[in-house]
Amino acid sequence: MSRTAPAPVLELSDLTVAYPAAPAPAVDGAALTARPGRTVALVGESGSGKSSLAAAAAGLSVPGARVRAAVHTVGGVDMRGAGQRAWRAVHGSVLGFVPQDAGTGLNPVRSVAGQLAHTLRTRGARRREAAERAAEALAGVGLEPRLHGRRRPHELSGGQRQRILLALALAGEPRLVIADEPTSALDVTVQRQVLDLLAERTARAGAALVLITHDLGVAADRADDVLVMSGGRIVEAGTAAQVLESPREPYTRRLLAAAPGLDAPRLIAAPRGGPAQPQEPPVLRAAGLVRDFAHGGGSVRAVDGVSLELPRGRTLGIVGESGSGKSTTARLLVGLEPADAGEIELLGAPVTGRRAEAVRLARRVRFVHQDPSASLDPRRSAGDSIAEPLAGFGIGTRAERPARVRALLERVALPADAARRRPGELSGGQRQRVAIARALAVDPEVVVLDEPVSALDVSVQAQILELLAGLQRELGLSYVFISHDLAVVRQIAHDVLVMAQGRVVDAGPTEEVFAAPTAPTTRALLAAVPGRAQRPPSAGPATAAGAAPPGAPASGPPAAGRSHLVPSHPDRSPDPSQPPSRTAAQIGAR
Amino acid sequence: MSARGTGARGAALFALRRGLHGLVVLWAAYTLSFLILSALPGDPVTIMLGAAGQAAGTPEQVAALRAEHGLDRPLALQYLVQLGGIVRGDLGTSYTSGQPVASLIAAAVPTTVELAVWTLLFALLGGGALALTASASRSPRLRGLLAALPGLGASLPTFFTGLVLLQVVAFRLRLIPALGAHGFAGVVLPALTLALPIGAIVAQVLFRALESAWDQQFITTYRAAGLSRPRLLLAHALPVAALPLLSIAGVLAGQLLGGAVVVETVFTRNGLGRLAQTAVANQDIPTVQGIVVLCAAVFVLVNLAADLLYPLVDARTRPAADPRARRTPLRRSRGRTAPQQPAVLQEARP
Repeated sequence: MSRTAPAPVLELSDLTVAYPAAPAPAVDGAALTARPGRTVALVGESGSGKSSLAAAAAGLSVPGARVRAAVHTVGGVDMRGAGQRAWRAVHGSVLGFVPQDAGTGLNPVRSVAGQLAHTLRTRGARRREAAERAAEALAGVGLEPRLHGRRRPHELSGGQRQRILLALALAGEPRLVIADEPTSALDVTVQRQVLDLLAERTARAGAALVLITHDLGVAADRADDVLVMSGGRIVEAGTAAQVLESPREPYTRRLLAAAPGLDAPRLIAAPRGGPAQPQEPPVLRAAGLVRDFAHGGGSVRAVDGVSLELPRGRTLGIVGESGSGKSTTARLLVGLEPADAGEIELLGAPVTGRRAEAVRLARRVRFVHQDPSASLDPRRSAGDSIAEPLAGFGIGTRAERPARVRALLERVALPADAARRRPGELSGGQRQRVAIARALAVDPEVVVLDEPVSALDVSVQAQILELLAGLQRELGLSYVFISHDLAVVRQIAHDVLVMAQGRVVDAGPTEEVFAAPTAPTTRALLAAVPGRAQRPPSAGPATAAGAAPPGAPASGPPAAGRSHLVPSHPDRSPDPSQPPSRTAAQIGAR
Repeated sequence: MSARGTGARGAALFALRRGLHGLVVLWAAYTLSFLILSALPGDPVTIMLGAAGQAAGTPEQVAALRAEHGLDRPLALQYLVQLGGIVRGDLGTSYTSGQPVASLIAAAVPTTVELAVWTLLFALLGGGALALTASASRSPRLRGLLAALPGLGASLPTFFTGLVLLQVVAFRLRLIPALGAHGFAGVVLPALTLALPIGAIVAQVLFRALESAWDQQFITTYRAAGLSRPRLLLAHALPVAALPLLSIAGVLAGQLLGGAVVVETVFTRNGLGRLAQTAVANQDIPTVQGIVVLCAAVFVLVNLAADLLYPLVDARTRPAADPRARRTPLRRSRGRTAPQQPAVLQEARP
């Protein structure tokens, strides 16, 4: 690319990764170059092969995988066909790998400081020196060594665990850091903190960063170069500006179009003070809901005086970080969880705690979970799952049910033969359609959706959101839509509640709340939405002569391709550098 | 109130509750064995007389013996009297030897404890070594072979392996006297015999647990941190994989006591198992009952100890000391705890 560019620390060309059982290779002729001080983002949907590529690049492929490459150097050393011993010489010292933490990235039975110190000892540090360096490493990622070091991973938050994984990867001062979806399981605000930390630490060390992500916003914010993967191939490669602003490939364009931004077209007709709705009482009303959970010796108030109203045919979004009480509120509304105080009114009639009431509530208010692969019985066909509530509520005869199931499948745009398939034979999006069909089976008034698209790829996510909006128009359904993703909520919800620490901190029509947030939590959530943050200063072009085009994306005006990843009303949107920026101690206390 | 205080109080409450459970288990074991023994055909008094060398006693003798042991009373009363005795710590008198059951048991316990200690040692070392070797081996064929061994070990009946060992080691090779040896020489063959099925369970459970630990993401984390395979196995997989062994401690104790009956009989060791075997053969009800209660107590105590140890070994099962800490996903403490917030975008992306 340039005569003066520093030597790459990772160079791959014509990389092929094949698994024995799979008919097609997971990675097919991919090339990647990572240079010191630069960040390469590898984006793609699930199954695109990006994690296989990352694992192969890092020498961490699963046993049995066949990895071949024309060129594969790490820190200048040829790693083609390298054995475990050769990789061990590279791991930790030249190459740091940050895995995706699904809560299992750290040893569950050892203290985190102990794990860090043990790793340092295996690299020759004495016991005391290792303990000191482990404490330094923890402090270096914004954790309090004495407070957090003694804890086991389950006693830490997701963001804290991810910080420890960073500390572990960075402890050997590697020149190359490969991070595989390092923040996919985190809240947006925590995601931003962790990515800032990662960028800052790699920049300070002058290391190269390869960032694997499904989130185009993250790539837009963080990367100098972007590679787009699909079906095992790299379909488009270039600087972040080139790829995201003027994509050449149709696939990239589709991906960009599907990525929800804060000014993507909304899927709902916004009846601003529309037709005579105010006269009709809300379908669902809750006032002063409280829910306490026993915890340790005392109790934790998960929901603290939440009141809400859901007018017929509208969608109420509930947003907040994890732990804010939004899911518990959803469970209270459906009667999955008894409220300690407060009242719920359904169709104008109060719902008491009696069993008969609970059954009535269960029929009128249905629930759709986040993860359809967990909420559907894996041994039951899709048709049986959809018919189950019919049998449970004694609706129709056994003979009528197949026809009803067919109608429901049609409603959610699934082929009729999907009825015979089991969840394992369906894709993630199809599974969520089955879960929605099951919720619709008993003709509910209200559907409570708890993060219904969070586990899905962006393109599938867009389809499911369109389906939900369409069903609402046709059937007059009312939704309570729980999500951490503000862009999604903006697309689908008429009104929004913002929750923090069990309380409602902001509420109102979605557009108004997002345009003029009153609560700090709302501002923080909006500011942390990826795709709109300022480019971190660390990714400056100084170390990467020639590669970065003049006028890095942040300074240029939003162009066609990625315009929706950038706020359309910068004047009205909060300044990303505004509070709440947390101090290390505050972060640690989370 | 410090976190430590609540933790200790919680543990004490837990132990108390489990202690009460244990008493119920003891009572149930006692009652069940009483019912089974009283339903057995054959008359203990006839057997007693037979043991005393009299083919058949006079009706007067029989009646006297019956009255002496309280066997003339209604069954329900016999049950209550014996139960009352056990509650007071009196296990009664053996029908056959006339000695107190407590002293018979006390005489037999050391022999069985010696056997149990050596058996556990052999089983843990052998089973652990086998599981670790199988997990560490990179050749799939060797791994499959090693992983198949525990099934074989568990399926061999102990009386058969015991006899084969006796035949080969004691009679053919004359390494150890067949019978009557004391100390290690006396215990090694029976302990090996009994360790075979128990070690097989250990190996099987540990191997499975190691395999599943090996597939977890933290192994990748530490592989990427440059740890060698043996280090990964011993420092990271083993501490996680050893936990299930604690949960099957009760099962192992049961296997040990049950196996002792066969092994002590084959090797003619005067331990609890042999005592149980002869007592059952002679319908010596008080002795059998005493052994049943003792075994049930051992079982209860082993399980209780395992439950109390678990939180010490695996912090995830501890009630969180810090209310800000994440709620434990494993084993919820009593009362309600908040449901896990669904982690966002947890879908594995291959």
